[in-house]
Formats: sequence, C-alpha cells, structure tokens
Amino acid sequence: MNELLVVKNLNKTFVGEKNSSISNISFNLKEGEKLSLIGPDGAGKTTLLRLLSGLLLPDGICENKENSPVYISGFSPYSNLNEVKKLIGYMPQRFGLYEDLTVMENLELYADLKNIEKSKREELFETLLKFSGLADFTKRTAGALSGGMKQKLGLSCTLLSRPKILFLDEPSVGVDPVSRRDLIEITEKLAHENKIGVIWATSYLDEAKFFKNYLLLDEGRKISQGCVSDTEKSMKGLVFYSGNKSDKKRTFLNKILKDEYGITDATIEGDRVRTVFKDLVSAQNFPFDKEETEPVFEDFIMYTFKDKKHKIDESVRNIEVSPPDNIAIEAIGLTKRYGNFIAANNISFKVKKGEIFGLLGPNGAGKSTTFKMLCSLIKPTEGKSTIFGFDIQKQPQEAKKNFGYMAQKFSLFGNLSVRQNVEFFMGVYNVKRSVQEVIKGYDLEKYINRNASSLPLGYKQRLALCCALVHDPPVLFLDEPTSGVDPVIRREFWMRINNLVKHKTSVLVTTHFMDEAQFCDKIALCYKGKILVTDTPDNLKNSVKSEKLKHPSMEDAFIEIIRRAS
Amino acid sequence: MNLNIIKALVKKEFKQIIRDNSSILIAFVMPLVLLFLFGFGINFDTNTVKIGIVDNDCTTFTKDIIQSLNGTKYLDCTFYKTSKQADNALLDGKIRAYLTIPVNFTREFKKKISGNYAKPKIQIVTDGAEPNTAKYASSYIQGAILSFFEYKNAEGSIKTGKNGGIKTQIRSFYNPSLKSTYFILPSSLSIIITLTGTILTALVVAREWERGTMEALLTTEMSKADFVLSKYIAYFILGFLSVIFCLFFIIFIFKVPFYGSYIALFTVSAFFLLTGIGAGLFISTVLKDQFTSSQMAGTIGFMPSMMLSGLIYEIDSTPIFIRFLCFFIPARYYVSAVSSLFLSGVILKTVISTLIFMLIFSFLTGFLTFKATKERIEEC
Repeated sequence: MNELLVVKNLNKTFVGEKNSSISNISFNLKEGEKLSLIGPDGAGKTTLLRLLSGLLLPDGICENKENSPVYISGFSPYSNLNEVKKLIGYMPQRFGLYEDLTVMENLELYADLKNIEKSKREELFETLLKFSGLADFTKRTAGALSGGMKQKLGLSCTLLSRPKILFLDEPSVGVDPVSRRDLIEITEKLAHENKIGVIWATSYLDEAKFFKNYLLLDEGRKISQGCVSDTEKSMKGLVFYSGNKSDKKRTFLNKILKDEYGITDATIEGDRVRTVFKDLVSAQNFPFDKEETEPVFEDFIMYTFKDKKHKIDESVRNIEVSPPDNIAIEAIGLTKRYGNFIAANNISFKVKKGEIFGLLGPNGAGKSTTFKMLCSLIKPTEGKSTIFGFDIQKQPQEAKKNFGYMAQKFSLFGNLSVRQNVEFFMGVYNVKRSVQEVIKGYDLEKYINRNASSLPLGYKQRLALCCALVHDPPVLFLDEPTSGVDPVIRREFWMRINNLVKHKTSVLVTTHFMDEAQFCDKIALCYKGKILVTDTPDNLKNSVKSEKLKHPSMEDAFIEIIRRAS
Repeated sequence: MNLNIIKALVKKEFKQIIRDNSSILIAFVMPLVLLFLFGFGINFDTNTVKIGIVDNDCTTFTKDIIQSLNGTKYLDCTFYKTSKQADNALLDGKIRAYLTIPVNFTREFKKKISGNYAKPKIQIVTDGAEPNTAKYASSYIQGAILSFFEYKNAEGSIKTGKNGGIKTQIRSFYNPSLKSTYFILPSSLSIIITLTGTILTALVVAREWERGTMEALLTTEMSKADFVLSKYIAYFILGFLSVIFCLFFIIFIFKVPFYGSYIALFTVSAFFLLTGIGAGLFISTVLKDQFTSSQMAGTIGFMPSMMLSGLIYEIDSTPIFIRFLCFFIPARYYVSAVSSLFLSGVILKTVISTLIFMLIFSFLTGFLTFKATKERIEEC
C-alpha cells in the first residue's frame, strides 16, 4: 500500500501569537485508510486540516519552499497547490454550501469549479444523489435542508472531483445521530471501494470508534495516535463497574474518588459506577464490589488526561426545603406553536427533588423550546409548568427565586471581571454574602480580576455555574452545559453536579451528548417536538437489547427508539 | 483564467442576487427612493422671500424704489418704522432680510446724478443663520433695485450720464430656469452608482468568508483572477442596469433635459462604476467581515460621493484642505462630467479628462483588489 499523505514535523504559529497552534505533528495516511482527528475545541483540528490542504502555510515554508513538511501523493500543497487541489476533497465546517442555491445548482457550480467534463456529469450526479438520498430534493435550496442533508450535499460536492483524499472538518456538528450514523457508513464505504484516504475531524470522542485509527490532538500537540481497537485492548483489566445496586450511587462515587483507591476516572452510568483504575494493582486491591467490563475509547482518553483533573470541593449547602408532593419541576401538556410549525408538542413530565432529569435529543428536537418555556423565557401556546409548586406563568417571581439558570454558551459578561460577574448576579438575586464566600469551591480565586472572555473554557464554565447558583436555588436548569468542552472538563463539571444533587438540588439538563445522558436519573427522549419515551437510562438501553445488540450504548438505544417510532 | 469557471461564478452570483432581496433593494429600490427624495424633497430654489423695509427718507423717489421692490414676485415686503422693529422681526424669523433707506438718500442720489461727488447708500441686512436664503434675499433685492434704475434710465426720467449709467443684465446660462433639480438629479447618479458599485460589493467577498464558502472555493480549481473577474462582471452588469433604470426615471419621468451624448454618458458612467466596484471589492477582500466592510464602504465610498463631489457643496467654496482631498474623489469628476453632459452638451475636454481620471482610479482599485485576493487563507 502506498503512502498517500506524509506529514513530518509540521509546525504552525500564527502571526502575533506566542504559542504555536500546531506543534511538531507527524503522521502518515495510506490509501483507503480512515483516520479520526479528535480533540476538544481549540485543539488545532481545523488549523491542521487547513495546513494539509494548503490553505494555511506552515512555519518556515516561505524561507525554504523545498522543505515541505506535507506531501500528498508526492506533491507539496505549498509549492504545487494546483496538483494538490486535484487530489484532495476538503469539506470545511458548515459544508461550504451556497444556501441560496438549490441542491442541483450547488452540484453544478462545484462541478464547473472543478472542471468536470459535461458529458460525465449526468452519471456522476445520479450516483451522488442516490448515495446521499437527495434525489427527491434537487430543487430545494440548500438553506432549507436539514443538518444531515446539508452534510450529505456538502460531501457530494466534495466528492465530485473523485479525490484521493478527503478532509472533513467537523462534519457531524448539528447533525442528528441517525444521519450521523448514515454519513459515517457512507464515508466508510466510499473509502473502501475507491481507496480514498479519509481524515475526519471531530470533537465528539465517541466518533473515534467508527474509524480504525485515531490521532488525538490537544493544544496543537499530538497526545497519542494509534489503532482504536488496540488502544482499547491496552486498557483491559483496568475498567470495571463498581458498587452494587443497593449502594447510593452518588455517595458511593464520592467515596471511591479518594487517592488511596488509585482511580483515574469514575462516572455514573445508569445504576452503576464505571471505574477506570490507574494500574492493575489498584484494581486488585479495590475493597468494594466490582465487575470487569469491556474498555471503550473514552476510558482511554480519561486515562490519558488524568493529570488535567481538578479536585472538587464538596462543601455544598443542603437543600432543606421540600416542594409539595416532592415534585420539584412539573410540565403539564406544554405546547409551543409557531404558525403551523409545532416546536414542542404536549410535553409532560415530573422531576422529583434531588433528581437529575435529562432532555435528550438532536438539534431541533424541541429541547430548547421546552426548556425556555419552563424558565418562562417564552410563553407556551398551551399547557402549564410549575417549579416547587409555583406556576411559572401566574407566580413568576416566586418561581424564579427557586431556580438557577445556566444558558448555552454560558452567557457571561465577557468584558467584566470574574468578581464583577459574580457581584452582578449577587445583585440581581439580592444575595448578601461576600464574593469570596460565593466563589469558594470553584477555584476561581486566581482569576478573580480577569475578564470573563479571556478565561480558559473550563473556568468560564465554572464561573457560569457559580453565577447560576449564587442564590442557592433548589432547582438548577442547565442548557447544553458541556457543548464544545473537552471530556476532562466535562467530567469535572458532572462531578460538581453530582455533589449538588447529593445535597438534594434538582437538576434539569438538555444535552445532545448521548453518553452524557447516562448521568441522569431519568431521561426524556425528544424527537421532532415530541417526547418519545421517558425512563431511566438502564431501562432505555435494555428495551432495545437484541441478538444483534448485546450491549447497546445510549446512542444505539436512541437510534433504535426513533426507528421504531417512525 | 478559465472562462467556464468565470461563467459558472457569474451565474451563481446572479442567482444569489435574484434570491436575496437585499441586493435588489440596494440596486433598484434605494436609487429610486433617492431619486424621488432629490427630485421632490430637496429644493435649493427659493420662490418668495419675506423682507422688511425701513424707509427713513420718505421721499417720492424712495417710494418709487419701494414700489418696484414690492412689485417683483420674488419679494414679499413688510414695512417697519424703525430698524429696531425690523431687527426684532428678523430675530423672530418673520422676515429673512430687510433694507434700510437712510435719511438724505434722495439728496445724495440727486447730487450724484448731477455730477457731484456723493455716495447714496442702501443697507441690506440678511439672516445669516440661513445662508442659502440670505444669499437669495440679498441678490433678489439688489436685482430689483438695479432693474428699477434701468427702467428709469430707459424711461429717461433719470439721466445718469454716459459713464455713471447703471446697466445690468442678469441671465443664467445652462440652467435657464434655474431649477436646482436639473442639476441634482443627474449628479445624484454618482450616489446611485456608489450604492451598487461600492456598498453592495463591499458585502460580497466578506459574505463568502463569513459563510465558509470561500474556504471551499479555494480548494477548487478556481484561480484568483477567476474569482475577482466574476465579481466584477456580475456587479458591473447589475450596476449598469441600475444606471439605465435611473436614467430612464431622470429623463422621462422627471423630464430633466439632456443636451449631451448618450455614448459619452454611458462611457463615463461605466468607468465610474468600475472604480466603485474596485473600491468595494477591495474593502471586502481586506476586511472579510460584512459589518465592518459596509461601515467602511459607507464612510469612504458613500459619504464622499455625497459631500465632496460638488453635489451638495460647491467644491470651490470649501477650505483648501478639503479641495485638495476632493482631487482624489472620483465622484467629483463624475458629477462635473454628468451635469455638463445633461445641461450643456458634450464638452470634450471635461469628458476626456474625466475618463482619464476614471481609468486611473479603476485600474488602481482593480489592481489593489487583485493583490489583496489570495489563493490561500494566508500567503508568504
């Protein structure tokens, strides 16, 4: 097999920046080989793909054109850009489509731009439309397509020139899990049949398992690289489900996260605690019930990043007050219509005190609409909701005192300092405590005078949580709290939520991360404005168990439930 | 350069223009609104000016003069006993100017016409807060007085002698009816061309960057010449249609007389349009952000073509520094060429010198745009 792509000591530092965005990356890609490029937001994935496709220039190339760190089939993208253009297919984020043009017009435009002969087009278009399932939508404008369809059209446009190598930049953002699965299958098939090399950049770690090899990137550096299955095998003997069902899982989780047990990662998965040990000895000496399980790729990531973790202060105030009937949040027949479009259709559920309730679903499923109705940000067309017994429409003031809200993208005041942000929220909720006291346990002291916009992502998230909780509310609303955050910070965030829930805070969370849903006590699966089913994570997974799917993941369960519903 | 690619890009650009209402709005609706605004809303002519008269001399001769002032349709006279009263009326805005005839005016005047040394004087006070009206008021009054003497001279009742005779003739060339719309409407073409040429094009490259399509284009076989040319062609066609559309309104709806040659007009307009497109594309290419680009295009494209082109302010009456600045404003050459084409026919010297400037400017902006366009996101 031939080396399709050779990358050797690739470096990139942007003008005016101290730290390099890509430092010393080397790897090869063979014909037909598929590689997932994984890493959190800001890890340098896009920069790397742009460097590979010749859109950006690596350090030192201007001084010495001969010394190219990248070769694609023997051509350097820096001195032979025109040759390289014929070899690569690059799909940028947001797919590079013209939203005003129809599906067919987009295809025709890119065919013209890529000099595809007119005689070959008809057949080519037919094949591509067939594989993408867009044949019935050729007259629809790209802007009116769903995320999954846009993604397929983007890929089709990229494939027009029959490239030897595909660079896909975050193709799965904003795409529902069913379409995502589709696209991955299509890409696999294509790569296999036409011997196309594929680099699939993603911040969703779970996607790595769909590809044979991975390259893990963080802060521009290669953290590790290899074959996904080998890596999983290397973790054998370190991953267990611990505790038994009678244990209170949240208390148990806190108990085992002490240094003496040698645990690098522990997380709630349905009724049990998934535990990753730092070595075999620690695993053997573990004094509680445990049952070995198959390692997955995320275990490895957590193992790799073990030094990045923060200790969490457990001092959280107990929520003493109790709502009527112990129901913290209740939604009764919430419906929101926009003209003919029903964004949320007859949504009903109950959240008990001290419970984490998750609204799970792809973008556009109606999660955010439901969420906003619950926090009285938008008015429901029909139905009502209560928080701690207070009707959010009729007694908004009382209801609002009882919940804290952490919005998507954190909604902090970027040009106020950490202290000023906290002071502002204290003022809004009329909290009479010192700032020091409020931020205790969030590890924000060292950044107290820094502007919120310049904080590292993890700290921003902590500050947002802190601001949402200044008034010690018994109910906490979290809207996509972890999008764009790396897995380590995500884990830490969930540990904090765990602490709160242990002390009887009730939490309502929306998420499109399937694995994150494991952390919830109950999940409502949302799809196209409706709740398909509400149950515990374990029950949902068990409900789709079959001969073919012996150990279904949350995503498997989700896809199966949607298939059955439609 | 690849003709097929350029053709595909131009086609794409037109589909976007047609489907995106804002382009049509900027290219056709906004110019129309501007034309109506300039045609009906803005009028630099003054019809009747209210003035005051204070006659301290009170002779039959001064009564005669006043009579003739009152007789013109441009002046509406009110009489005041003292200058103080007239002053107050001026302050209250009841009148725009007043004239005072001093005591002894008649005696002085008679002394003068009988050959002795004398200075008969009439004072005119105008309201400087409204300079335009003030100017009109004073010149109307002066005109009226002059024509009075002329009449008397002709009648023979006053003999001013050979040398001391007052003889004036006021006549306006090129805009005989002195209608300012005849000047404003053709000149406003400069603003209209700037709208499609600069404001619209300032958005288009930035839009490709913002929507992530630029990245996709850069990895196709398109060259940067293809890209720049396709933008030029698409917006040149659109801009030219807009010019024709507006000319139709100016000539056939507003009935502004046209004395020049259409070929000259279209050639000058075409080159001015190219200059504008170049400036817009350059701004857009450098800034890569629709909001900043449109702000910038407004500041360095739209404002000068309105303020510094001679359309609203006479360039010769601006301070030296501004006059120097105007030298670099293409719109200024365009305004002078278009207004002379409309009102006085083809003046070859003006047309050719304008064309030379336009060529230089359009070549310059085109060159800058091409230089600023990159084959990659960054270049050495």
